[in-house]
Amino acid sequence: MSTGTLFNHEQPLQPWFWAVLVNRLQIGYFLLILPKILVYPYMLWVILMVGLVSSLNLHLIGKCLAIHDGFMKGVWLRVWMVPAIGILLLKMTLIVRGYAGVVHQFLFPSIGISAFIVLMLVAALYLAKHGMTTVLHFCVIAFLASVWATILYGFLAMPPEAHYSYLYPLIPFQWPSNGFESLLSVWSAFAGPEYLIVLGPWSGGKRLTKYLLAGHVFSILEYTYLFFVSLVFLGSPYLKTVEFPVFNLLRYVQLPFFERLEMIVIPAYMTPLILIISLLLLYLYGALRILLNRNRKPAHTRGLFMVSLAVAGYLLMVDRWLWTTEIHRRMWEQAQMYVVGATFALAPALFLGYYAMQSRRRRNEKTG
Amino acid sequence: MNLLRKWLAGLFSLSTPEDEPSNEVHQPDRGSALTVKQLQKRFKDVHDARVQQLHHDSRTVTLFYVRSLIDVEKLQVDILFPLLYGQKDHTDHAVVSDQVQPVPDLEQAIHQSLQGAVIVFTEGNVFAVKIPSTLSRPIETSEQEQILYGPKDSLSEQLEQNLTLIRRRLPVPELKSCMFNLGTLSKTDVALLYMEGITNPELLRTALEKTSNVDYDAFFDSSHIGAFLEDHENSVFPQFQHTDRPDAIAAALASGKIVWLVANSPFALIAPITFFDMFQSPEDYVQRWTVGSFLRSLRFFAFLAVMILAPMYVALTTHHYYSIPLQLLYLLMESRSEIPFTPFWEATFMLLTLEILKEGSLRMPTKSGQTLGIVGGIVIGQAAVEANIASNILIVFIALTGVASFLVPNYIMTTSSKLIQLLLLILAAWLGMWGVIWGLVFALIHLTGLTSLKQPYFAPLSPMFWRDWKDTVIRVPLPKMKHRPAYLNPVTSSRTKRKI
Amino acid sequence: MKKLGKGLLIVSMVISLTGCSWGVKSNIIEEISPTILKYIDREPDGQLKVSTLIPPLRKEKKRVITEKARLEKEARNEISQKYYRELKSGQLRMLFLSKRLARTDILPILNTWMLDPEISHRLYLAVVEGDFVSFLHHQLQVQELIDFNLYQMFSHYEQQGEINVTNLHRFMEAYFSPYADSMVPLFTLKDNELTYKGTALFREGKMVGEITSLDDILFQMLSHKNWFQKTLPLPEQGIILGSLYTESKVTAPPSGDVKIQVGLKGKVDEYQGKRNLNQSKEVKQLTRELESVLEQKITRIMHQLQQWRVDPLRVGERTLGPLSQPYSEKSWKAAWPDKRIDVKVRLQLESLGLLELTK
Repeated sequence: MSTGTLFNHEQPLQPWFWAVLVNRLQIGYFLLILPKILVYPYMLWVILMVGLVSSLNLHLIGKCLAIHDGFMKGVWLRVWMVPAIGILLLKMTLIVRGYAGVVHQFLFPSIGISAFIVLMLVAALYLAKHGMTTVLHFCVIAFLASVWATILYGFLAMPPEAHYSYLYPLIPFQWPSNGFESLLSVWSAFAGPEYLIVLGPWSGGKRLTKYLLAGHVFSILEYTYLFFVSLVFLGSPYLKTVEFPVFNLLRYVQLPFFERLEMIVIPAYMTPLILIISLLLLYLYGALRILLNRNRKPAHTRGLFMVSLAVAGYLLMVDRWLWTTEIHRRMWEQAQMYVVGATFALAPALFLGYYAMQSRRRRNEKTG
Repeated sequence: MNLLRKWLAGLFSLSTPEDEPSNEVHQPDRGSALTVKQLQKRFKDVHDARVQQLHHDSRTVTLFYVRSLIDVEKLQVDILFPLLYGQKDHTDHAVVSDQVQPVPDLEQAIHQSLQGAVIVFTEGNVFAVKIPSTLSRPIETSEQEQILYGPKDSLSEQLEQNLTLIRRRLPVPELKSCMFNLGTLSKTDVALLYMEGITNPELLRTALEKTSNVDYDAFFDSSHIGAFLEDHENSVFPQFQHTDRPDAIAAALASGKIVWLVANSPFALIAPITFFDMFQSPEDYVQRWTVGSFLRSLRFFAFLAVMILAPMYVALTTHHYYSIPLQLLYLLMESRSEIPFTPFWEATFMLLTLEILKEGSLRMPTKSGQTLGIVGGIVIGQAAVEANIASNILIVFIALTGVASFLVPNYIMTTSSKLIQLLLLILAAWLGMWGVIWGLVFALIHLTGLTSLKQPYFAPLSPMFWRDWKDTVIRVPLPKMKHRPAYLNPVTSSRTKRKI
Repeated sequence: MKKLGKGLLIVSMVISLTGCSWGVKSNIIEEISPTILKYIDREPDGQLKVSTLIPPLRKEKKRVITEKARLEKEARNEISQKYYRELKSGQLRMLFLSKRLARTDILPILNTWMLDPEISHRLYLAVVEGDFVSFLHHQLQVQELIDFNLYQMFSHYEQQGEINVTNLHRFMEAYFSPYADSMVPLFTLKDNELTYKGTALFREGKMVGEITSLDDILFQMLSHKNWFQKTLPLPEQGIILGSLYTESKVTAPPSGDVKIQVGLKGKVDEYQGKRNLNQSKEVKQLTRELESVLEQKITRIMHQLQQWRVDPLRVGERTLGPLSQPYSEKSWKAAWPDKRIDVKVRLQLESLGLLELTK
């Protein structure tokens, strides 16, 4: 595969980076709304159970990463790119518009959401411009810049603010009304690593499943911890009514020299999102190149820039017409939940199947 | 037609090929024969270019030299005296010097004489004897990187002397040096030093390639050459370490880095470097390791403080009044209430004042610099508050920023942090803490993408090299640091005799 | 040049697409006036009366400003327009509610505060009996920084105990919890002195009862698992206990009585009774007597709570087990008033604090 500097893969990524990548790709928008959907204490088991099941999926992803010969050929591949672009745009919408909405709601009600959309895209484009390797390297920064915030929640997990009785009972006595939704939301909260399947060329031919799982386990712990804190601090009935509990909790934390820590944590939470957005931008550009059959020509920064410009236009239009009310927001969240859940479940399997088909055909061509 | 052209040339000072003097200098005049006449012609109007004829028996020996470039005493003792009174038949062997070279053509002769050589014309034989003037200042203590304990010598403008200082510290034949002569006008000697068997060959190849590709007319400092070697010219972060401490240079060489020594510049260039190298001082290794680690982490903290203290003040007082603890808000409102500027202008004004004072005291002679410091302290501290130009809490922040900026040993890094601080200040005034952190994320992205001599600048953080963390934010005891930095990918990684 | 033109085109496109919403309304601290205290009362005609102190946090002449309106936020806006600086609620630290208002529903008001992203959930709540506005008027003449001092009092007692400090978050959390009820400190005004009176108890957002004086001390002991009480006066017995470490344990098995065990460990601070405390027999008798007095008092408090049908001590939570939920959320509310309560107090007097006076 001939590539310009954008998709350069001379340097393989170090194994530990894959763990961090898996973790930060999972911690997307869903972290913010997950506790509110789960609500009940026994949903802790759901997190663990779904986490366990999805680790099987990570095994598949690990297998996908072992493939690094370019089999990206054929008309079918180009057809596949059409839904792929749709999915990428959907994910992009939720992350950018969703986060910008949070900033607008919590920090700057007087500034329009569009300003934050543009600023985030600018930062993401600047990262994407450095090429795939740098984007992947950035995951450590994204991790360190955002993971410290979880320590702050420790203040809320201790009595007298926390009431551990909210953890009881640990088993359900009736099937919750939103049972399926909870399952699905946890499943899609663990989605994200499926975007790694095409990064085989950066894997350096190492067996990475172990590292992917390590990142995944860390995500499970993080989700469990944050859900635990929101539960013992607010209690199930109250938790149901709170928007974005993860940020709302922070408004209660007070340091002797600084109060209202959401002021810092909400911006810090931007770093992993920028990582995801720039990855998505590169994917969008790559998908468009395949769709337009240009992937033999070198990749240009200018092309990436045009793609980002188009994405910015799209997002601003979404902001203006398609996502204006809280009802809209829930609709987008629902749509995302289904689509992302489905891609997380299917993408690795489809990828492996397609690869097997291709390699069999190639073998047949050689022998026949 | 010709007339018109001349007129135009006069008008726009276009130079026609006939009247461009520099052209002659640039183009090697291969045709002319190597004679004293030709040399004299080329050195026309150079008043200290001397021709001296020695009549010795029947033979005549002609000497050509530029008097300001040579050591006159050596000329008399090593050349004139043996030529006049020494062995008569072998003129070439009579000269007492280790640097005798035959001169094949005119260009060589010109080059050699400008390097401080005496061109000796005997019958049918021309050779150059190098006796350059070693005019230099003595070895002094480094003013840029002062330390309390540890070696005190520093480099000077004399390349040979600098090499001596380094070679004394690494007396092994593996310390290799390649000489380059860069600059069509300045003819600057540049020595590229590396350790064979340690430095990664790939790295060395990049360095050699970059150095030989430098194309410019004059270099007067190592940083001028550095500008041609760096990967990212628009970055605010220095991609070469400038140092005049021979111990730091030797340490860099021993860990597998490449060093450029530039003639007439007391500062050597070291590459590849990382962001974290900028926070290291040779004194870290003098202190107890716990204290050294503490001081080093303090420097990182200070660097962060320099960048965000003032922007945070602006962000909090402009947007996030609710984040300020009540007691503090009380004080802030009291001190801000009389000030006619918005927090942004207040902070910008005070920061610029601080920078002006700092620049001023740096450029001034030492004695008046101190006076300036005191006057500045009073102006910044007392008067600004009393005149209601700044609030006293901001003064505390600014003063802290000013002092903290000196904690980072690398002055170039400090100045870049000042620039980032001003940019963050604007973002803080616009978007509060979100803006500040957005700006910091931008800086982090930039650092992640940055390279120094094609090596990642943000190593060992991204890409991660676990082993290098022994000597990054903290430093472990020296006997525990058994390996050279992994991001340099050295040929031999172990520092001990035992291979690990 | 071409690049610059393109850049300008893009920038202008972006600006036209996003509209002019990039400007920000700043909160430069000397231009705004963040209120830290607010008092809300309900007039007989149903309107809200909101009062605050302006300017807060400033060495200017302070005054009380009051506004009547149907909605709380409406009153806030009107107050802001009365004053030359914009009033902001981001630093609001204390909310005083009149007892009249507390008796009716306060939830719609608290909900407004909850929804405002500016307002911290650490907002202290208090109920006041009496004319708080005239207290403020009066106090301003003696004490300029009354609002700030009140805040310091709250934050001091939040850490130290003695006053049952609560805030918006705690109130709402208990309100939503099926096994708990909210409580708020109650202050009273007598001769322009603000005195701590006890704890006001809320059911479904309405104040239903109050616990005062000695009962309040015992009530606070019960509401904390471990507690340090500086003094516990029992004047009828002529004794003051001091430096009490208390340990209270509430168990509520699914069927059967609610058991409350309180262990107290402390010393005698003052004794003016008849017994000779140098004799161990008499000391034992005194201890037993005090234990039974305390038991009676606590039982009375608990019965009172049951009468009001409130459960501020979170007894309901004790019924829950990791694998059991004997009372569903609604059935606990129904079962609580009829629960039998069994109180056990154990008192240990570490030091009798007496020299041999009978010599």
